[in-house]
Amino acid sequence: MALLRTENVDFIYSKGTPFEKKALSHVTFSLEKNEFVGIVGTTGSGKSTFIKLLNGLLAPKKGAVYFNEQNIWSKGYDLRALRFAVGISFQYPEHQIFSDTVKEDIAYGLKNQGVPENLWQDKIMEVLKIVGLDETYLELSPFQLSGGEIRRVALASIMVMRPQVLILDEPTAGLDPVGRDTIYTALKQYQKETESTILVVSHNMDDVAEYADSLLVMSAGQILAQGTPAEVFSKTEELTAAGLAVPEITQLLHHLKLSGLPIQDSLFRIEDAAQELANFLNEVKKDE
Amino acid sequence: MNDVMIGQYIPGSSKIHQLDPRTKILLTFWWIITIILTNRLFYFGLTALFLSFILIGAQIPIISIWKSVKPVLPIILFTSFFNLIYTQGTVLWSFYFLAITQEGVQLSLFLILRILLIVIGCSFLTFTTSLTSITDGLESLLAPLQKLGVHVNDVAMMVTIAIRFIPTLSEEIQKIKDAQKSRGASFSDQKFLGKLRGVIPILVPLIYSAFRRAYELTMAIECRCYNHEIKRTKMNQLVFKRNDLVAFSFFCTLFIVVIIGRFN
Amino acid sequence: MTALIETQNLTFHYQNTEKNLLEAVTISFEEGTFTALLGSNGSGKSTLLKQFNGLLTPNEGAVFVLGNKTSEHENWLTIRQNVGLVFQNPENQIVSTIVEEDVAFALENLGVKRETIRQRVNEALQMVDMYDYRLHPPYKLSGGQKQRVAIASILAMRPRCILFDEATSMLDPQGRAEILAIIRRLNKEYGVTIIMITHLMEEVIDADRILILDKGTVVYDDSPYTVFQHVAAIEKLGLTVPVVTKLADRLKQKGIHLSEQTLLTKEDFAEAIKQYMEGHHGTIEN
Repeated sequence: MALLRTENVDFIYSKGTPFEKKALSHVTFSLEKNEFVGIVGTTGSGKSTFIKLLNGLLAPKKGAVYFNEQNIWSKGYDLRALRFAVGISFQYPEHQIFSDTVKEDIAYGLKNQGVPENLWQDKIMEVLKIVGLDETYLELSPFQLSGGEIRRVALASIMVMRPQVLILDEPTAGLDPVGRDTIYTALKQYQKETESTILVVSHNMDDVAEYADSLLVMSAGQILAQGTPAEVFSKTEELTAAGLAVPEITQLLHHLKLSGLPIQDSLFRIEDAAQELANFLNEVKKDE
Repeated sequence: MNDVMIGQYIPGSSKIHQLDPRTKILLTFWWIITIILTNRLFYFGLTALFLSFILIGAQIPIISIWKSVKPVLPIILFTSFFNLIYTQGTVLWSFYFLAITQEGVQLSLFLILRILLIVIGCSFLTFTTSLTSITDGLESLLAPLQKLGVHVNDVAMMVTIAIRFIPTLSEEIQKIKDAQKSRGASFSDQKFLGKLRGVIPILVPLIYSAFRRAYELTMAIECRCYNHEIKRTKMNQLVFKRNDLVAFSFFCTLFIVVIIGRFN
Repeated sequence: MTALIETQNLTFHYQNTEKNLLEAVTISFEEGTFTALLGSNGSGKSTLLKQFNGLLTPNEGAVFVLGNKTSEHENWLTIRQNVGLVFQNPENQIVSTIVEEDVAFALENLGVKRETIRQRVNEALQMVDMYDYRLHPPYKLSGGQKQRVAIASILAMRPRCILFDEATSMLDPQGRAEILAIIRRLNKEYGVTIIMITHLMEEVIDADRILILDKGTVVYDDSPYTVFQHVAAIEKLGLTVPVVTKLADRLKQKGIHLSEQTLLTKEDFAEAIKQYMEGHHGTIEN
């Protein structure tokens, strides 16, 4: 049974006006418990619209969205409860901070959830640890943190609500390699501890390929490819045509294969690629 | 979301759209004076006829006109009602202490007509001229004040930037709302205090972000040599064309007719 | 010949802090070169870039642009005309409601004649392939297109040098490729000096020179082939190296030494593999 799924959803912006724009058409997709999925696509591919359908920020014009097999737009469905179960952390963390202290900001979701105040401290400390910050941050103003730190606070403020599905929109945009690794390590850690489902939206293939179990590639409002990273990256030409760059390491292997080396070219981790090439070169050496 | 209507501007290519913004600003003022000076029913008819020609010329849908008039209707009706019952003169009809006089009827009718004609006339300025053009026009008209030490250029620049950021910020409000809703915020509280509390999680990030944008924008402007030493030039200089002259002569004719009517 | 940009013992801290963000930096840039400036968040690279056109000025030491000292106010207009800066967020650099007016902004500020403005605006828009969009409002453009407008706005001043402060980091791969192609063209065809901050390795392999900053001091300053020899040391600074270089390094750890030279591009790598295989043929035959 799928945890969260969409069935043939369509979405159109400004319907019925001269500015009408079709953002999604016939998107059918499902998420299982404890999965780590990456959604990739260029700007305007519909990926940001799609995630807003998943927690009911937008309603599909056609088709339906199901959480635990219940249609979220059926009468009397509690959308607010859905948003606690399907948490989205958006691209710009500055868009959600408004409190005097990091602690208050993280507590905002708990307050809305109606969690008793005496439980807040423990819950907040737990998520702070996951995102790699210590208790000295609790009383700091979120406005004086660095870009990477604000992002981690924003992430913690969603994690603290313990969503079953955690969705992140471009979680590492503008961060340096160290900052990026910190975020992904935190996500993996959270997934391990809570057995939750994680969905990361990104236009950076290198980023998501490393961590995701499966990928969903979107282009012009439709699903272009779906499967494990290796399956998806075997379609280098199609992805490139859609304006997406496959991971650099895959590009390199593809280039080598085209130049005549009989190697597997759908690898995307540097260690795997090094192993593959080492095996191949050692083989050549032995044959000689 | 990107297609927020800025002001009331309805893009078009009519002769009236193409007039110099300074012409339209000046004529709007002249229109107001003309209407205030009009004081006979016949001449009100004449000005209304004149206005309907502009309406056709500008190709503005009637529905847009109605939308601009609708919000002022209660005020018009309210004030004209009091004019109706409080004006002394020849009594037409009375009920206890209320008396409706001939003068009262005339006064309130004229009031209604005046306000309607002025509101519709002014709305043509905003329907056919983009906010940017209005700013350019005002900047040019107020240029003489620069000599008196008023920084007209700076003010015009500020207004332009404000207009430029309307779509950006309105999109940002939507994003902030989405982010807070995802943390369980609900903006449906009907009570005033609840509403106020609901606004803070939107307002604070918005202001913070606006300040950051302002800071970055300042640097970008500095990089592009904004200064007070050199006299600025303009790539798109405003120029009066033949049609502007035509428009002025129409209004001049109308004005003369109304003046003659008034003192005859 | 004087250098285009030259810093002497440049030391800088913000007014409200004691900590030096830049510590005795002495470097210079020749005309027509392409430099990539790297460093982790907080290394001071953005602060350094802003020194190059006088947005920030040193507390100690000095910066000269074409021989003009940046700390002297009367030099600012000359400096900024010659050294433009393109920022990270394209949204926050556009001041007008129409593309062509935005591009004209700098020239209007400098009091350039109307006919000349028109000609230079058209020229700048053509250089970034945005001429067809000259009458569009900026909010209708994509991120990549907005960034192209921002570049055109600087180009209109005909600067000798353009600084890019992570100008591609908010764009998707397509937008990024567009901007990178423009930057390369400006350097190769028009001889514009480029100094670019980036986190993306595919953007730095074209540079003539790599400058790595750590805690406010220059730790590496050389050609990419030389700098990227130090894979382990660079990774220790919180930075990455080009993926090709990294792969060659991992192979070396497995006992396969592909080449004496640092490998940067896909082509380098393919060639090295070919030679390695031929080399083994050679050893067997002997």
